[in-house]
Amino acid sequence: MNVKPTGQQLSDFTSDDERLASILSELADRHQRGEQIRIGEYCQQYPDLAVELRRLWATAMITQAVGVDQESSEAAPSSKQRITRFELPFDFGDFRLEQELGRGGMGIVYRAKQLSLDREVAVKMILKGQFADEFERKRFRSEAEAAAKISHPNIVNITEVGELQGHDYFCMAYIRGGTLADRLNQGPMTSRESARIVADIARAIAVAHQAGITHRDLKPSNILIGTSGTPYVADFGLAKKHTQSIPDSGSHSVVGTPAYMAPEQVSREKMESGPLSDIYSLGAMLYHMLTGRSPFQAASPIELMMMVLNEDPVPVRVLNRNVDRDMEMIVMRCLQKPTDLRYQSADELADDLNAYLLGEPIRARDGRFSQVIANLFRETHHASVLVSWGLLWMWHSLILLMACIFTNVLQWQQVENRWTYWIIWSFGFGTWAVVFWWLRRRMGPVTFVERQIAHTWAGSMAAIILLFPLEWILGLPVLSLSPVLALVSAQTFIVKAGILSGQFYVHAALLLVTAFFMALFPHVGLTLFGVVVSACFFVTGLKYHWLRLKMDVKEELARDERASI
Amino acid sequence: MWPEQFKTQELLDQARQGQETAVNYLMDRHRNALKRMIQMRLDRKIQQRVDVSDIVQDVLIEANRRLKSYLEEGTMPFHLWLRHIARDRIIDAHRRHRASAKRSVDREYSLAVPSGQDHSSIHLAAQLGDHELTPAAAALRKELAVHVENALTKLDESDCEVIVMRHYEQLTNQEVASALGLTEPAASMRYLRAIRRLRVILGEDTNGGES
Repeated sequence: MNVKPTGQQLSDFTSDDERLASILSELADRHQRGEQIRIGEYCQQYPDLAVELRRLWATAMITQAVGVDQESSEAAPSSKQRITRFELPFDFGDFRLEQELGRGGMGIVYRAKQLSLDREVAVKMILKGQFADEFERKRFRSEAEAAAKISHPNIVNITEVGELQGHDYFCMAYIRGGTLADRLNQGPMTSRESARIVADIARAIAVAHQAGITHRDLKPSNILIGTSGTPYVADFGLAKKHTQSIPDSGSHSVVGTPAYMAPEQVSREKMESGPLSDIYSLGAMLYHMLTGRSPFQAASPIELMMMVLNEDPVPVRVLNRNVDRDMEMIVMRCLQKPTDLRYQSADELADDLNAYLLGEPIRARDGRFSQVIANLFRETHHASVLVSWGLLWMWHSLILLMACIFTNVLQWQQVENRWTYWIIWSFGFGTWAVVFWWLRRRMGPVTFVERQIAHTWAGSMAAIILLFPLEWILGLPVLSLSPVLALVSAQTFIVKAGILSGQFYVHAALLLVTAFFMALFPHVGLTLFGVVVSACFFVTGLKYHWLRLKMDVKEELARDERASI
Repeated sequence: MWPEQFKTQELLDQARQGQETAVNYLMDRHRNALKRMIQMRLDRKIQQRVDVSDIVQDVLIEANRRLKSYLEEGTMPFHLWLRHIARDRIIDAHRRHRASAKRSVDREYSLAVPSGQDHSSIHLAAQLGDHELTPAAAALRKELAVHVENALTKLDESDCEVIVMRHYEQLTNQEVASALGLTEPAASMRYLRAIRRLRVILGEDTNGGES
């Protein structure tokens, strides 16, 4: 690229500003073409302009970043969304809009009269620009229509979905009263009242789940409380679209409220959110009703999200002494982070709440011990790093096995030279460690957790290598300390169990036992160790490698699907 | 922001040969960029009354009408030509609505994002959306965007225009010159001036000005 001279030629007969303008424009053009700009080189070339050039270029780059971000967001940002407020009363097709009831992320709700049927209804006008395109809009409609088919006394029925005068709207039964959120603003509720309300909601949700519809955005502001105290679930099936395709940055979608959102909805990593996410949200609402606050509170949504993922909520009874233990158990059962520890259906939750109301034994108490055990052996959220290690661990197991058997064979051959063994175990494994790490790095950035694990491995290697000089100093025959290998390996597995997944406790226990057998049968000790430790690595490696393959296939399918739209 | 020009050229050639589908496709693929371009320039108050999509539609209809003469004698790149039509439409809209806007816009108002916990999710959605960025980085960028856009509103119109053209629409200096009817050196001078002023405003915003 022979572009730089332009500025040079100019420098002879034009003013500084003209030179600066020409350089800046040229830089911006080149940057737009995707060229790498090294501003330092330009500054060296035009030392008299360097200070200002550097400063202006930084400004241009910041603006560029913002401009590009802006472009990647599909629709206008939420703050710029507009909706016309109708002068009330306003005739809107068959409806006469009479009073504004509320507004939310999607639009405004009006109390209205349906003229043809002469009845009171609520009409929700969807915000313009809510849908990126016709496709999304159709999907929204079909989902709202599906939701309209569920009929339950505790669900706000959608009676009509349509479009009129360029506005999407839907019409639903009008409920006199307020939302649960309004009620909660006045403080916590009694255990019995909360149990009754959530039991009713849970029954309604169960019916919807059986129809294959998940709410995905249960929160106090979506629960209406009628004047007689009957709860109604609103906005059914309407949140679905949002969770299915979370739009690009800067967009306006309401994904659900983090305060009541299940961890799997927050992380979007491993599992799809489904009916069990609704169970979590029900639990979060129950928690709020009992304590007067949502399970997690934080200064920013991001912190809130981290808490939802990693922390346990403050026990209900710490915040409200009057709540009894059974009730607390029910709430905590709903708020379990792993989905399989929650109630497995909304009906189960409703049954337990009814049992509580009748003073009968509740089921949430069952399996408390098994839950503790299950928790211990569960994968932590760091376990995902294992996915990139699957294949490597399988190779690692092979190399371990070979090294152990080879050493054992040398032992049988009566090789007594300590150096031979030492070289195999230090240089052999040192080289492999370097290769291993290099292979891992080639696959992508190394996370902090992986670094921690690499450290425990390095520590165990150092310990193993030092066994040889110790044997020498103590005057022991070579390899007589080999059972310690198993102890050291067991220890690294215990560390891994804490960081990654409880299943490694099993491996650790196995290795600890192996140490004794190695001491009892020194002749085959190393082979025994090799088989056990490599099996530990191989089985885990295979499991996660397989998981990775599955994920890759899934991703590809998703990509194809996107491409075909 | 504007669609890739190589393909546009191809479609224009096909349009010259009378292919109706090429014309439709050509118009369609400029729709989003046009919409953005108009959104960024149309007065907020007027945007409450007029749907930007309607203006886009008008522009495309007008373009369709004039396409024949453009294909025969047009010298300007296609997207700049569309921008040109859009500019006229924006000026029209401003002229038509400004008077009436004064009178009745008061009765309408923007749907401000309500505060409270339920709505922090709006913010969260934005942060979750970008797969490339960590949430913290996304938050930072959002904040940056707010800063820059605030600063842009403080610039006078012609400075703002050139910044938007260069960094939001990603037009080259040559294209800016052509769209504004300036020589290239004059366009680059205008860009320099705009960036300088932006720098000053941003500097005041963040650290109270730099010497």
